[in-house]
Amino acid sequence: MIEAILAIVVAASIYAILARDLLHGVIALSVTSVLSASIFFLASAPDVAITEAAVGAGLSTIIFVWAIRNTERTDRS
Amino acid sequence: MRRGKLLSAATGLAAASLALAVLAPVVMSDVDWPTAARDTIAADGYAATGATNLVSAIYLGYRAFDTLGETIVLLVALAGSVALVASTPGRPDLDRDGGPADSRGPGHTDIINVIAGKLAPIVLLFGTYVMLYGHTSPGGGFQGGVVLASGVIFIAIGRRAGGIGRISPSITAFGPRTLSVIEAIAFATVLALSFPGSGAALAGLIEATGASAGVAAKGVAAVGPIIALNIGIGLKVGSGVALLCVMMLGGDQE
Amino acid sequence: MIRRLLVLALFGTGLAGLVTKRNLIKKAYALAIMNSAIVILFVLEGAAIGSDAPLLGGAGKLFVDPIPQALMLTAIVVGVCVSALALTLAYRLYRHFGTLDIDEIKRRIGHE
Repeated sequence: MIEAILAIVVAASIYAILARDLLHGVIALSVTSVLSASIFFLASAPDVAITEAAVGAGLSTIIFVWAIRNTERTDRS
Repeated sequence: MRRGKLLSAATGLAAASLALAVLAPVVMSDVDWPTAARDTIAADGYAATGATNLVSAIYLGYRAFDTLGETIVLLVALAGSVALVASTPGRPDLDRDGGPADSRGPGHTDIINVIAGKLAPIVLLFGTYVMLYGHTSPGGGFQGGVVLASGVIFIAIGRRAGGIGRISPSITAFGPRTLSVIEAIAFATVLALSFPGSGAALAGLIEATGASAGVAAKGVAAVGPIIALNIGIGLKVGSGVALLCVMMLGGDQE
Repeated sequence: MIRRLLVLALFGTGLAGLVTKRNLIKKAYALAIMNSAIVILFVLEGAAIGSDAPLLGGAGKLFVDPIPQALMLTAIVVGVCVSALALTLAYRLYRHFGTLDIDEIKRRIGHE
């Protein structure tokens, strides 16, 4: 179970790094965070799971979206 | 130019794989995870700190100074971010005639207008619960503080959208100024609680007022200091992170 | 073993992104990914010696190790601060130079 979720996390991270549209990358990163939170819950670490869900899916998404909105949305390199 | 870019990408990849070659034996090592620390804390943790959540017992009981240092790291990083956001000239938020950036942008739908304001009290209540009961259930200062910050952000979004459930900026208690005052007071509280003996003094005070009479069993340390530290850290983290996000959302012009 | 390989792959993804991507926001993504790889590694390894969450109450429980959990808790919160600071620095650079490409920024700093 944990291995399967971890594999999805790795795939979503690779997508986040490669995506040309930075906003798609942010969504992939927040999916990564939610899946990591479920991994922590399965590994009986409820404290870490709460923190990861609140921080990863909530706050860092807001900060990343703020940065993208105020700069550029596409990765031109 | 293009060749140079390819070359630098190849060099970067080579460096990354070399670093991974060093890391791999460390990660893949066959050494078993030691159990001594777990056994000690499972046996003595409750008697030494009074918290039944062993994670709280560690980061506020055994390693409270570590947590203090981590709070200072948080303070410095957030202060740097807030200063950079506030001092950057030519902010696009301010350039568009009046009003915060996307109060009429295509991304704002009725769903956000309706949901954001109504969800905020529930999220704030949950954050307070997580913060206050960190010593017995999963949760604590950091988690509760972050959830509280999400609640404040919901209020800010609802206010910006001007939808149902919005709170007038003139009467709200969640403006940037109030948040920074709360953060300063909470950080001072955490610092004061970190002085040697202040935790014991607080526990004695609580015992003298009879607030915790009959709660703590014989030989178990009072849990009061842990709850106080949880509240202080929760308010500090919550107001700090909320301050940064409210400023990013453009709430500092009001 | 599969878990550790996957965590290593996650860390490697972040590291490769950090050194090959030029976009500063992509670099911030890479830092966040590396941070979460470390957190996952510690929590999974600490969970190997038990099966119950470290909450007292009830008898005969075999707890997981609570120490890595307490440390990773602070690591997550520091991680979001690193992201915030990195992104505000990138935003400041974008305001000044009009681009997020780190090579371009370096070239212009050399010209000034």
